[in-house]
Amino acid sequence: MQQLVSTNAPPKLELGISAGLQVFACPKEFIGAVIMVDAIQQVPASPDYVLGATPIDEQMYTLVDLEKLSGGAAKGATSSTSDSSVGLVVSHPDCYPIILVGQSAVSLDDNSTCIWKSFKLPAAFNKHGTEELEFTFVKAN
Amino acid sequence: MTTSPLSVITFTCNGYHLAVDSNFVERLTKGQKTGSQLNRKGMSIGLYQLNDEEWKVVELLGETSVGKTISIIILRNPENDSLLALQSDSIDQLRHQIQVQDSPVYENDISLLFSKSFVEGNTIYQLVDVSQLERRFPESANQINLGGSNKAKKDIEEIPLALNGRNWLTYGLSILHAQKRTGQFVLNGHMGEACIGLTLGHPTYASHGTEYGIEALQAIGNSQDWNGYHWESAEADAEPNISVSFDKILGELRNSPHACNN
Repeated sequence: MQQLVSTNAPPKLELGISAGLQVFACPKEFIGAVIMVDAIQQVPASPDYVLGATPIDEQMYTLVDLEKLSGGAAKGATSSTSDSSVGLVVSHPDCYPIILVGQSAVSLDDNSTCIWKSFKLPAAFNKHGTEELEFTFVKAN
Repeated sequence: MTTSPLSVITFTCNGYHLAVDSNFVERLTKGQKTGSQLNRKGMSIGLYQLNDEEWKVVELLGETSVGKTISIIILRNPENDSLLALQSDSIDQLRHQIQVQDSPVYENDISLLFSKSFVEGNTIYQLVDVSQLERRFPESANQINLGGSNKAKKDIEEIPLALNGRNWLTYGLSILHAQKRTGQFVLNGHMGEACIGLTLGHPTYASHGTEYGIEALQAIGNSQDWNGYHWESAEADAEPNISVSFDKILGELRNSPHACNN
């Protein structure tokens, strides 16, 4: 598994996104923007956790429903993620352009009271290999 | 990974925006569904009646009901000599010099067909990988002998041109180019006749009133006068007056300051 580790050591602040009952954190340096998700287009033959795609700057960004990806929503069930959801636009040279979709974006630091976790993206999003991509970071002491 | 720019024909299929490399496009036609041969999630093969012949037509991402008449894109895979037929709800337009991007491929055979995409305006188009289509689904190939398709004298009316519509000329030329046609495309209007001569799919001659060459092509594309067209398979006697590349011609037509936008 390929780890996409933040080079901030230790990070002072990360961005997280709440999806279902969980908050997923992503190293801030990989986040290009926080957007409201709209204008979703269907992606053919895509799995349950792909909500669709949207164009940004003439590039296709795949919308990933983190709640479904993490198994937080039963297969086939409606996720709590909706058209009015928030997305973290992820830019990383090893990852296809994606938007992590959840209910809201949150700032995470040492004082955050919520329980936040790293997450893995399926190998389909790895531009250069066949391994899963794990978004992780070191929590500040 | 980036690839060379492509000319593509875009179409819609069961709500999806798709495209195929125009080099694969043999012709556009219509057919009526008579039955089914294969049904599976994401792709079916339907049996269709096309000009008194039975064809297998790939129905991507959804199935068509028996009895329905639909638009069909006939594709030729240059790797072999079989023909593929692809269902479409509506065939849109030619886009030239498209820069496609790699897209995520998920763990299923259908997703492999859509490994590239491009964005134009606010629309994402998924490029159908014709080679993968035949490799993954060999049962979809048609071995119908068209007498050497590019040499066959098929009826030009099979190109359903909406004359005077948006980009109709670039669209029609792209099909003639893909088919490597030699002959004359003659247009009739209230103001007279216009002619576009092609040699092996390359426009080499155009005349419209007092204009010739690229200017004549632009005038033909900009005119709203056309009410009919026909194809003469004989090569024009006139001296060629167009010598630029096909992509350059398409670019000139699309960038024409008078391009109609209806």
